[in-house]
Amino acid sequence: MKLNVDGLLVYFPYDYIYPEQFSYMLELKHALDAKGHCLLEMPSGTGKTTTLLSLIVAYMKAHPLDLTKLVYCSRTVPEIEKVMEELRKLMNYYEKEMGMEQNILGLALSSRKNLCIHPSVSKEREGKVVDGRCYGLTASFVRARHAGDDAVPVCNFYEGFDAHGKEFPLPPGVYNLDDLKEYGQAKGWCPYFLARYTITHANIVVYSYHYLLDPKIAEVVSKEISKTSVVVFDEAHNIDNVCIDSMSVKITKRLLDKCSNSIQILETTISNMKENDNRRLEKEYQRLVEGLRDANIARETDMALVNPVLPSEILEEAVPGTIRTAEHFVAFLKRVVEYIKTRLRVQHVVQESPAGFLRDIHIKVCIDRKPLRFTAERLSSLIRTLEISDLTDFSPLVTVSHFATLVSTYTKGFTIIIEPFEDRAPTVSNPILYFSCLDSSIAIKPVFNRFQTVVITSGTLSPLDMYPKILDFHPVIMTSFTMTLARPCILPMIVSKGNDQVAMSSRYETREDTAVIRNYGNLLVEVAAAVPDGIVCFFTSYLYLETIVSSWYDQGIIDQLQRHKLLFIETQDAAETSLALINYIKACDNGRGAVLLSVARGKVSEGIDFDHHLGRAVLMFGIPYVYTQSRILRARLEYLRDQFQIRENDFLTFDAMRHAAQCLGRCMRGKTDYGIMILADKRFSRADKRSKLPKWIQEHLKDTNCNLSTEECVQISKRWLRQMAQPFSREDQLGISLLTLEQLQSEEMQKKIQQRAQAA
Amino acid sequence: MTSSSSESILLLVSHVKLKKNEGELYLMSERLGWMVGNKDSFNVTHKYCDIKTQKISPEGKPKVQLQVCLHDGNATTFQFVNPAGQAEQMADRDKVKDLLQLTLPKFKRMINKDLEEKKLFLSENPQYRQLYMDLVKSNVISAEEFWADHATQFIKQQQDAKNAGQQDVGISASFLADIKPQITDGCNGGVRYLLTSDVMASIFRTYPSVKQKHLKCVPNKMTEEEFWKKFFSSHYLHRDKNINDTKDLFTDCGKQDEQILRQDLSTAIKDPLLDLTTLNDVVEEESSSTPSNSKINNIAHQNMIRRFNQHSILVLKASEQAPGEQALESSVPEPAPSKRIRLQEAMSYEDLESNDTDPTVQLNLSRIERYLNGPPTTVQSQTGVNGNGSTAAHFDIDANAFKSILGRWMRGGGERYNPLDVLNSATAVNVLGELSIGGTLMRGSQPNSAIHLTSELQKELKELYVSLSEILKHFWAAFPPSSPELVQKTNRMIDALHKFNQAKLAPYEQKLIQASTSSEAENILKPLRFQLQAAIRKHSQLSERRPLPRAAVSSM
Repeated sequence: MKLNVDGLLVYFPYDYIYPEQFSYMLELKHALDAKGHCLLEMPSGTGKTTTLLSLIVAYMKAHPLDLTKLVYCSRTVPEIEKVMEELRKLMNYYEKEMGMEQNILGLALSSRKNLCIHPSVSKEREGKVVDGRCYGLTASFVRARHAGDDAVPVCNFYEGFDAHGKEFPLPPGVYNLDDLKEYGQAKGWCPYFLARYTITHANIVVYSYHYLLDPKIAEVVSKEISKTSVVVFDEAHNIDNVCIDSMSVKITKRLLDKCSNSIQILETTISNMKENDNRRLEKEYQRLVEGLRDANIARETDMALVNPVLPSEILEEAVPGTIRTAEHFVAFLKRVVEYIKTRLRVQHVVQESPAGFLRDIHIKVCIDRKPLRFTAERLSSLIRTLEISDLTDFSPLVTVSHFATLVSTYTKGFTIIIEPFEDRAPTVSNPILYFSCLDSSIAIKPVFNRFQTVVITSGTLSPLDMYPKILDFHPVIMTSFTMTLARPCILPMIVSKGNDQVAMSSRYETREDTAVIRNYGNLLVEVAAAVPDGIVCFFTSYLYLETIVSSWYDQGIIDQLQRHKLLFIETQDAAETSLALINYIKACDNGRGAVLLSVARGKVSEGIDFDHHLGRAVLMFGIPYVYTQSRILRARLEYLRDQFQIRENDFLTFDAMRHAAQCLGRCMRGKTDYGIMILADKRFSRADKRSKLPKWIQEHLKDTNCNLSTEECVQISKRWLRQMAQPFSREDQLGISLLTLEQLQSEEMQKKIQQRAQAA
Repeated sequence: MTSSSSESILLLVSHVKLKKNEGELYLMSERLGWMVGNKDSFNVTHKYCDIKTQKISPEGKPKVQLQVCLHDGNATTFQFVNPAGQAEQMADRDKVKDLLQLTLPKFKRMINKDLEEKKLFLSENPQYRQLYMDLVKSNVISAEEFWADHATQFIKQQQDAKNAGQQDVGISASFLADIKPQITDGCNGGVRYLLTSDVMASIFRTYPSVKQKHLKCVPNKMTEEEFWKKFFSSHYLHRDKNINDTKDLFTDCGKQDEQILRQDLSTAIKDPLLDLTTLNDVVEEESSSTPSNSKINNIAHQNMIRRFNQHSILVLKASEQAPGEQALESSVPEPAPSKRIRLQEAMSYEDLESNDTDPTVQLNLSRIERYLNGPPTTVQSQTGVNGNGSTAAHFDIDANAFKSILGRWMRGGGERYNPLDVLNSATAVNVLGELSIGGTLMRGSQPNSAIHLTSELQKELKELYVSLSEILKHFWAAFPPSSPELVQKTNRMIDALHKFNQAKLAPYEQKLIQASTSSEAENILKPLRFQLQAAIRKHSQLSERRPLPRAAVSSM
C-alpha cells in the first residue's frame, strides 16, 4: 500500500499495516528530517525491518540530495540475509507499482568466508584460514611475483575483478550474499572485493556491526562512506558490549609464546633478505623517513593488517627513528613481548591504568610512548615488505601490536588487569592480561560524529535513557512503542514461589538450595505437562545450568520431564548445540514437543527465534546478572559511576533485565503468534526490575500475576492457552491491531496514532 | 440344516417353545436360531450383532423364559419347557444365558463401534443426516447402500482412520526412567528392575548399538537375563558416568553412539538459520577460552548433558523410522531446504499479507437453464424440453455454433481468439430475441416469481433437491452401463427414483397444492420432475435396447 507519512509517499510492500509500524515511520521520519540520531524500541516481531526499509528508501527517493545512503548493521549473518530479502520484497513492490526498474543498488557484505568462490579456499571452514589464504593469493607483492613467474598461484577471480570489475559497476538491484556469489561466478570476478568496492556507491549496504564499530575493520571497509548517510543498528540492545569488545585485547601466555615464534620468523626473513635483496628494506626505510603513510600506497587487498583508529595528527607524523629499520623494530617487538611476559609472571592480581603501564615499561625496558604508538602501523609495513604471505601465524603478534598501540594512545577509558589464575580455579596457573575498554562511547563516537543520522533500534531497549548515557550521544528522538493487540497474545507472569511456598530465586545465597532447585524443576515439569509443543528455558549462566541439570537428574525431575517432552540442552560446543537445536525443532514440528534448556547471553538466546509452536512458553530461571565478581566488570562499573554517574546497581539491573527481555522476546513473532513468559524469580516483582522490562511486556504483566506459586501459574496458563487456541482470523485483528489503508487514513485512527506518539 | 452346515453349533437345547410351538434352539458361532422340532430350516434366526440385550424371567415365575431384544426394537421370547421339571428348565436356560453373555459383548462392541461412528458422523454432518432421513428413513434406498455409496465423506473418513491406524507409536522419552530401580527390601540391598517387552523394544529401537550387542551375545555368550543384568549395571545406562571404562560390556556401544553423533554433526546441520557456528560474521579472537573453561567445569556434568541430548536425538530418530527397518541404515538425507526459501519463510508476515492473491475463476454461464437441467441429449431434443419446438432448433444452432467456435480455437490458438467472433450475427439476434421479454429464456422466471413459499416448504424443497440429485448422481455415474454391476446399479437407482417419486415427491406435491394452486405446484416441481423423467426415460431406452430382466431386479 502507499502511505502518506507526514507528507512523504511511502511504498509499503504489504496490504495491511500494524498501527505501531506507522507510528514508527512517523518518528523515524522526524529524526531524518532533523538530521539527528534516534533511539527506537519496537516489540520483536512487529516488522521493524520492513518498516525501516520502506521509510528510508522512500526518503532517499524523495530527497536524493539530503540522504544518499543507508548503512544497515545487523548482528548475525542470517539476520543480514533476512534484511536483504526484505529489501528485495520492497524493491519488487516498487517495481510492480511503478512499472519500471528501480535505480537502487543494495548489497550485503560479509567476511571472505561467506563470499569466497575460489574452488579450494572457499572449502575452508574457519574464517581466519580463509582470510589468510586469500591474502596469500591476492596481496600486491604476490601478484607482482606472479607477473614475473607464472608458477606463483594467484586467485583468478581476484584477477578478473581487478582487470574489469571496476569499470563495470554492479547494475542496480538487490544482491544478497548468494546473489553476489552467483554474479561473481558468472563474471569471473571475486564477489568479496566486488562488494567491498561497490560499498562506496551502493545506495543500501547491509553488513555486520563490526564493519562500522571495530576500528580495525571500519577504517578499511567503511572509511569512504559519505556523511549524508543514515546508519541503522538493528538488534542494538547489546551495542555497548560490541563497542567494548572491539577495543579490548586479551593476552594469554600461549599467545605470547606464539609471538616469540613469529618474531623469530621475522628475524630469519630479514637476515635472508639482507643477503639477497637489501634494496627493498632500504626503500622501506626511506619511505618511513619521509613520513609517508603506508596506508596511502597500500593496496586494498592488504587490509588483513590494519591498525586501530589513531588520532589523525599521529598519522601525519613520521615513524620514529628508533623503529625505522627492520632489525631495530624486531628487537623492539621482542622487548615488548618479553616485558609483557614478565608482567604475566605475577602471583597476585594487578590492576593498573594505561599511564601506569607506560611508565613501568619505560622504567623497566626503556620503551617510550611514541614508538609504541606506531607498533601496529610499523608491523604491517614490515610484513608487507617482507612479503610474508601466510598471515595466519602472525595474528598473535598483530594482537600484541594492537595492544601496544592502543595502550599508548588512550589513557582514559581503559584499564589493564593481569590475573595469574582464574577465580574458580586458583590452583591452575593461567595468567591473562586484559586490556579492557571501559567506555563504550569510544568506539562508536566516530560513527555518531560522522553520519547525519544514526538509528539505534531493537525489540528490547528498555530503559531507553540508559543508552544515551553509556554511548554518550544526544538523540533527537527516543521512543518506545507498545504492541497493539486484538487478544492478549503474551502472558508474562512472575512466579515467586513453589507449591511449598519456598521462595524461588537464583540469588547467590539460595541458588544451591535443594528446595529452590526442586521448585524450579517442578515448575518446569508442570508447565511441560500443560503447554503444548516447544518450551524454551533460560538459565543465568552455563555453570548454573549444569549444576541444576545434575541436581534434577538426582531428584528424578529429568525423568518426569521426559515423560512429557523430549529434552535438549545447550552445550558450550556450538556445533553440538546446533544439532540439538535442529532436533528440538524436529520434535516440535512432528508434534512430540520438546524442552530446550539454554543460557541467557548464550548463542541461542542471541541468534535463534522460537516463533509459533517452537516456543509456546519461555521460562527465565533467575535473573541473568552478569558475573559480578569479574574484575573487568568491576572496573567498568567504577568507570561508569565516575564518568557517567550511573550507579552500579542500576547498571547491573539494566544489563540483567535487557538480557531477560531478550530471552523472553524470543518466543514472539508477529501478532498471530502467542506465548507464555514465565519469570521465575522472586526478585522480578520488585519495582526496579519490573519497570526495566520493555513497555510492551510490562503492559501485559498484571499486578495479580506478579507473585504466583507454581500451581497458580499453571492454572492461569491453562486457561489462557485454551483462549489462545481459538481460531484467530484477520477479521478479529482488523481495525485494532491491523489496519487497511482506509482504516489507517480514517481520522479516528490518525488521532489515536497522534496520541500514542505523544504518550510515548 | 443347510444354513447351519457351515457354522459350528455351540449349543443345542431342545424343548424350547416359541409362540406356543415347541422346537429346538441352536446357538451358533454368529447367530442363534430356532426351528420347529422336525423341520430342517430355521423359523427364526437372529444374528448376535443384531441383539441388544437378553432378559430372563425372574425367579419364582411359573414360566422359565428368555427374551432377546433386538436393536430394531423387536424381541423374541423363548420358553424353556424341559419335561424333566423346572430345575432342568432353569439349567437349560442358564446354559443359553451364560453362552450368550459370553458371546454377545464381542459382537456388541463391533456393531456398537460401527454404529457409534455412523451416529457421530451424522450428527457432525447435518447435510448427510438430512439425506439419510430422506433416503433411508423413507425406504428409498437401504441403509447399507447409503453408507456404502452415498456417504462419500464417511467412506473417506473411514479410510483415513484405517491409514492412521498404521501409524507407528513413537517411543516415550522416559522409557529408561520407567524402569527405575525399585529397591525391594532393605536387607539384601537388592535392586529390582521392571523390564517389559515394550521397554526392551524401545531400548532396541533407540539404541541400535545395544541391539547389535544383544544379537551378538545372546544366547551364545550369556543368557537373556544376564545380558539385561549387565545392561542395567552398565554405565551406559547411568548417564552421569564416564564412558571410558574398558571393562564394561557396553563401552563400545557408547563409542558407537558417539560416532553417529559426530557424523550427524558434520552432515545434519544444514539449515543456515540454525547453524550457530556460522552465526557470527567476524571471527572472534582466539577461541582458546572454551577449552580452558571446560577444564574447570565438571566433566561429569557435561557428559551427562551430552547424553541427554543424545538420548533425545536417538528417540526422535527411532520414531522416525519404521520399526521394521534396520535402524542402523542411515536414513536418506533429506534435501536441504533452500536458503532463500528459509529466509523468506522467516521474514514473511502472513497477517500483513493480503490473502486474496489467488482469486477463484468465475463461472460464466452462457445458458443458465442448460446448466440447471443438465446436458441436453438427443432424446430430449426430440421430445422437446418444454414441448416447445423452437428450443430444439436452438440446440442445433448451438451445436453448430459451438462446433464452429471450437474449430476457430483449434485453428487460431489462444492469441488470435477474437471475442467478436464468438457468435455469428444470426445466432446473436436469435439469442437476443430469446433473452428479451417473451422469449423462451425469460419466460420461466416470471410465473414462478409470484409464488411465495413458506420457509418450511422451501426447506423441504431444498431437501428434496438434495436427495434427488444424490440419487441421480449415482444413476448417471453408472453410465454407460458397460458391466453387469453397473447395469444393476442403474436398476437399483431407478427403483430408488420410483420410490422417491412415490414416497417423497407425491406427498410434497399434495402439500404444495394445499398451500397454493396445483398449477403453481406443478411449476415448482417441474424441474424435479423433469430430472426424474429424464433419468427414467434414459433407463427405459436402455432396457428396451437390451432386454434386461428389470422385473427380476425390481422385485428385490
